[in-house]
Amino acid sequence: MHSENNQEKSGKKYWRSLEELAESPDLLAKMKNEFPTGAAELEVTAGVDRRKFLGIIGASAAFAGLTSATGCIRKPSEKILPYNKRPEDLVEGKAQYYASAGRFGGSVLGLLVTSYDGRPTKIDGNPSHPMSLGATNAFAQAAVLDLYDPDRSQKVLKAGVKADGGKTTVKSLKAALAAAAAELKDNAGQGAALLMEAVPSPTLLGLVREFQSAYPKTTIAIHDPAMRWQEAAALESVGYKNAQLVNRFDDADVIVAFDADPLGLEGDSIRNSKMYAAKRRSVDETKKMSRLYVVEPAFSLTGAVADHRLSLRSSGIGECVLALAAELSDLGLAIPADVVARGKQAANPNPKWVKALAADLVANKGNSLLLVGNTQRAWVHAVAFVINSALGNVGRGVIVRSSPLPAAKTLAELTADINRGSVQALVMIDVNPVYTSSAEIGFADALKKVKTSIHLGYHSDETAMASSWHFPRSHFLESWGDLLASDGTASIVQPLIEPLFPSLSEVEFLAGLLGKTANGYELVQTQWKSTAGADFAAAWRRWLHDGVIKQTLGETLSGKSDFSALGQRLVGVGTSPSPSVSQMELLLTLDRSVYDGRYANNAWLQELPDSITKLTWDNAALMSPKTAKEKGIKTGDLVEIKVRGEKERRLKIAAFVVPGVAEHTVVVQLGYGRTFNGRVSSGTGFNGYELLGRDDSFNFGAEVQLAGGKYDLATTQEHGVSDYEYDTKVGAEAIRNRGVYRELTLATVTAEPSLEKAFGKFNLGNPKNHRTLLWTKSIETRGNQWGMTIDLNSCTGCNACTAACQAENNISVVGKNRVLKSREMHWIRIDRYFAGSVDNPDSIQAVFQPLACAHCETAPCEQVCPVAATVHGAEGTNDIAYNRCIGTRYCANNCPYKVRRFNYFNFSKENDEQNPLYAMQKNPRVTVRFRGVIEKCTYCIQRVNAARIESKLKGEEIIRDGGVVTACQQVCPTDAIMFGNINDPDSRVSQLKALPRNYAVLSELAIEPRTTFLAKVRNANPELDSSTQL
Amino acid sequence: METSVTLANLEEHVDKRSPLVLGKETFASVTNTVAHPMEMKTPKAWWICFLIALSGLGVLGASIGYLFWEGVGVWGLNNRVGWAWDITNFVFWVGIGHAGTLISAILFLFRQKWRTSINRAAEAMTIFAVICALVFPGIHVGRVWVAYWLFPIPNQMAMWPNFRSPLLWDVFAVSTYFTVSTLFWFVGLIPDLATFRDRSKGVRKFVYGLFALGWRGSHRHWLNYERAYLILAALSTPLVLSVHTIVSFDFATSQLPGWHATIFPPYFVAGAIFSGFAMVINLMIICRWVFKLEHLVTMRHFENMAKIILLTGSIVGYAYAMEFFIAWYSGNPYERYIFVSRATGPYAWAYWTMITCNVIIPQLFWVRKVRTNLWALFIISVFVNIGMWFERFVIIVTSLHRTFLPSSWAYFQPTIIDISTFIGSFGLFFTLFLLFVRFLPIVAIAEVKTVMPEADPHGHDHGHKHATGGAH
Repeated sequence: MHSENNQEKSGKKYWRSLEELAESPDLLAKMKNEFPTGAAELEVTAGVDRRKFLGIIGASAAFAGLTSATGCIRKPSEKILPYNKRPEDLVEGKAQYYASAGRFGGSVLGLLVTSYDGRPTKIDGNPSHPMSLGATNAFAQAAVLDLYDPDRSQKVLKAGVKADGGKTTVKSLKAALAAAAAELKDNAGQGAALLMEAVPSPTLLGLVREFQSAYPKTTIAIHDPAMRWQEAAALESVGYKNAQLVNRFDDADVIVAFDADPLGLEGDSIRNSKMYAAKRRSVDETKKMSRLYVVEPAFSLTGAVADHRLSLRSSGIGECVLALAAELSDLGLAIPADVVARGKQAANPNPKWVKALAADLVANKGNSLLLVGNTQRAWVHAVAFVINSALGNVGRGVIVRSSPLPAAKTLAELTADINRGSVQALVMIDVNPVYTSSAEIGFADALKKVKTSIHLGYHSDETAMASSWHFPRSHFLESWGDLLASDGTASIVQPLIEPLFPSLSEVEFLAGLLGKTANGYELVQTQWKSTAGADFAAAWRRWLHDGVIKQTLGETLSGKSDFSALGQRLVGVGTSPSPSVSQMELLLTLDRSVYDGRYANNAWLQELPDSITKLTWDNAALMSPKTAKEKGIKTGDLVEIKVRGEKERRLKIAAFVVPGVAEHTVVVQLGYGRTFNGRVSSGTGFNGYELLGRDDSFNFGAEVQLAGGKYDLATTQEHGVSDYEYDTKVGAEAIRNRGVYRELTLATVTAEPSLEKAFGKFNLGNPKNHRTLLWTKSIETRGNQWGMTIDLNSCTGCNACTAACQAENNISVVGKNRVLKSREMHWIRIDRYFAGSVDNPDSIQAVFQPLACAHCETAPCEQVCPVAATVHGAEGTNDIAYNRCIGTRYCANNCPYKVRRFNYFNFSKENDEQNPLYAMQKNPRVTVRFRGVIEKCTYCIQRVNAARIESKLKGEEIIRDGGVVTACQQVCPTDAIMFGNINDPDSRVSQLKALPRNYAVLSELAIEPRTTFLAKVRNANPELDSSTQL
Repeated sequence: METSVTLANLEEHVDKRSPLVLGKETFASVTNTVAHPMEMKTPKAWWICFLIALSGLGVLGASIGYLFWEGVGVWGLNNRVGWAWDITNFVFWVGIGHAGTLISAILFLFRQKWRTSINRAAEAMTIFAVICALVFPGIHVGRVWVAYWLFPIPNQMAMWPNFRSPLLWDVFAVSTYFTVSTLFWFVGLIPDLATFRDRSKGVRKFVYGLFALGWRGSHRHWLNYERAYLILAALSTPLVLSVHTIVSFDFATSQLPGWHATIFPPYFVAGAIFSGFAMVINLMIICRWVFKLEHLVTMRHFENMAKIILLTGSIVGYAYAMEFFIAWYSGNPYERYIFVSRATGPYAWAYWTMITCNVIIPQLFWVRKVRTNLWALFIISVFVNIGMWFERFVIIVTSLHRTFLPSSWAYFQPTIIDISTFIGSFGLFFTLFLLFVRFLPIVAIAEVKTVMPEADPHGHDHGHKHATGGAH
């Protein structure tokens, strides 16, 4: 168990330390079987009895540790007893922290999960884990809400209908699993298949191997959007079998991303972002920083923060890589001759740009990094690998590692096998291919041909309904497991709560199908017994406490790459014609909110505004303003996209015009338009999978036509603005004039001895240049004075802070209709501005500015509140007494940052009524707001108060630096947010505020905000003077 | 509608004043005319109008009930535009409530005797308009059940309201204005209530008698009465200016571009008088026609009011221009932007509606033929009030919808409840006004008599009998 402060883990021992208390082995054995059932009464029907639920959880928390031999045990509802003897380390209402791990967007993240009285309420990154380093992404933040998803699968389904009369209990679940296992046994002999995600779990993969030996005619297939098939194929072609690339940003001075999003949706984005940001922040000490080039068809997070970005359709990316290879060869790099020959003929999208890039790469040999995105074909990956090798990056920033996954087939290959009749039994572990696959593959039809199909899933989703068996899956906060990070670091996935509904973890499911009776805990322990060495118990405790297992698994491959076969692969590739108005290019991408659709029933993620479009609750057909104008399409118009392939695919979808999309390209995010009947996912967006082709996520020759009719798209910026162009133009002008977002080039920074001078061009000045005031300012100066800085140079606009704030502060979800009315409640929002000319897509830049209440010293909101409900705290915070607020909204009107949010309806009650389990997630330290009051960022005052108590107990008058970490600061993958005591000149936040890059937004209003920003520095290549300064 | 006879009092001559009361009116006939609506059998037309107004009041009640039940979200407001129709309606009604006290107090102090025929109705209008206005700040808050926290009531929390907040000043300003206006109106009513008491029977006699406070018309009564009336007039006079000044502080003391302007107090007061007189014209034209008050409420009254509208409309127009000039001259980019956006942005339609109705159309009053044409007067006054509603809408909504940070720009769209609440407030107003015209003297009988030639011991000074052919 971790102490209250998760940074200080060493003092306390480990997860569920009550195990130690229970010294008697007899007691342990008893506890193990005491309450084998107990979840049945938790079935959510018309509305769960929350009181009862809490009672059960409260009671079970005490015994959680004692019974860890069976995972977790909950007391039955009829026997709720107070503690006779309070267990040590358990204080009701005090948070407990447990280490665990999860896999989000293809990256394994070590986690620290907060739990109150047995309820997991918040997920954060584990600082000891190399892939999270204390941070997480929005998916991980929202995962805790998934636990309390009232639509999660609670029943065993047989052929799509509820088995055992719809009363699934732990017992009946086991019986059903046995029945399914028997059915499997009857059919698997003639050919079985295992379809799963690319989960690097040693225990699960061990069971997969057992499955294969039990049923030798087993095909393993992987269906996972994060699976890097093309990269693996490319590596195989140069001599690395079953390998994967791991990219490290630690030393990368020049990074080139070709349609790749290493800071967003691909790879170890959290670690990448941390390392990338460290390289950016170094500008303050060394006046040096890394440079990022991106070539991509539509804004990714990586593209948005790029120093130089080329807007290019997906099908042209390969040509661009080839052209770069040829250019590098001219600069003396050892590139194989056939690649160079092909590169010379390549269609170079921008010779000047590619030339400058090549020169920059050669100048940074060994410290550069070339990445290619998942949507690109194998030959593009191969050419990029050639370049990386020639630059000496392989083994440094680009590491070839053996994949822990078994050799597997793709879904298309599996479908072909099924159609051939060689698969009689199909086991699907947590996949939803009926929804997440191309219609061209025809998996849904093939599934009907399989005699026995057994599905494990979190929702009774599209695949569950089409399978002969469906079993509910446990949430990862309810089940034992293990996960390997890309560098081989292993973590134990440990549960915090007994499954809310009878369900199975992945390992329990597969073990059960193999006829094993062992539970998840035993399975995972068995897997790790050999690793531990002599003292397993001690090692196990250490692992659970730390959340990481130090010994790394898997190996880094070295050896000679073989490029001899490459020339052949490049024959006849990449010669697609340029798209035109009538024949557009269609690109289907993963979504930054719902990923591939798996998070579609998560209300937080649905309402999380997309980083670039600021769209909530929907996806749309994205088009550049220029293309849209040519086609006469406006945002909100319904269009029909038609693609001719094996069969004609069509989709009627709303159009959204946004800068940064390559010309004549239309981009559709996947994951929306679910047919699964979730109360959150219903009616959101359009199903992009209907357009997906067999092989590629991009297609040439899409016809886009107005379909007639309008569709309301809810965005959190440009609310309801009909004339987009007018607004962006005026908006861009306004930001420039107003100095809201400030940006410099590195050249300016190095040329100017003092940045203040560089900033002089903003006539609005620096916060230091106070105007003459007619009164003496009453500024608090005693004790801790809280302040914050947000580094615009680091921020990638990833939305993690918004999601973390929502989880920490019990912020309500309002729904699409209210977002349409500009009533979203997020306390911290990320403002996105564009710069550049709409007519020149290469000049378009996007910037992000996270904005929450800035806690002004002379706050305009405080002065106007007629009932003094919002007042200045002694530590400089702008506080709201919700109980005093009568809701005049005058403060919101007078707030220059427009960060105050009003409860126009009883949103929190509505949330709880619509989703009866959501109340379980609430942070007990934060007041749930009622209808009719204003709310806004409090600087996580509950965390400040907790830290104050802690420091008082220690006898410290001042809370030490780092003692308070706000939720947004904690989650930030780029460490862009810093919070602390500005009264202490040595605190990190004070040091950042002393930087010349520091400025206050709207400082000329004399409001003296406590949150200030550090200006962005763009490391523009002097050869490419395209930087449009804001 | 008009004859050349009634136009006679439009001309002022060097040697003699034009008469204020026309026709062959005597003291008795004035009393009879004014008391007639109270004494006649309730006409069908009144019932029809009353039922329509009552339905409007019902719409208001239903809208407010729904609002209380569901929350402020039933209006179209959002997190950027926190006030829209609610406060627009508030300022609109407070503005209308300006003419009454101005006519009765300021014009009284300035000895503008023509006021006597219209001051009663104008004051009633004032009070009813202020009642309508008071509805909105009360219902616009998120938690109506604790709206009383706006008042400095001693409580167990030992919490005072925030005296720095202009909203609190508003509470005091408007409630004071309402109290003093009501008192002033009531004091003025006493002699006439006594007249009504003496002319009625039964319960009515009792009720009128109760409110007539035992008035017998003795010299001492008159002496005290006139002294009290004068004092109240003196008290009301600064309030006429202060109430709208303080309402304007709601905006002027904030720091939003478009709100934060020193010109607001005079500009708001002028606008309020502008809209108040327009409303008086509308109401008086109808009353005069229905109750046949042509001899008491003469064309001269309308012409005078039209002149005031012309003056205040021009002041308002000047203020609009000056706001633009200052926005440019200040060099403040936010200020500049908001004004350009008002005229050219998404709410340009509202801005130009305002300019047309408030600045351009009232300029027609330069022409005497327009000033003395009842149809023109009526229609232009309606336009003035439409324009003044839009003025408040433009000030409130356009300033809020595009503030400092372009990321937070939004658009406001009213809901059906916004509209029904506003329409319902007219229901409230007309319900009260219809009750007033039915049961109370719509013209100050006693005061009108003082401006008739009969009341003048030095009849030759004003020469009424020459002009009117004698009214004795």
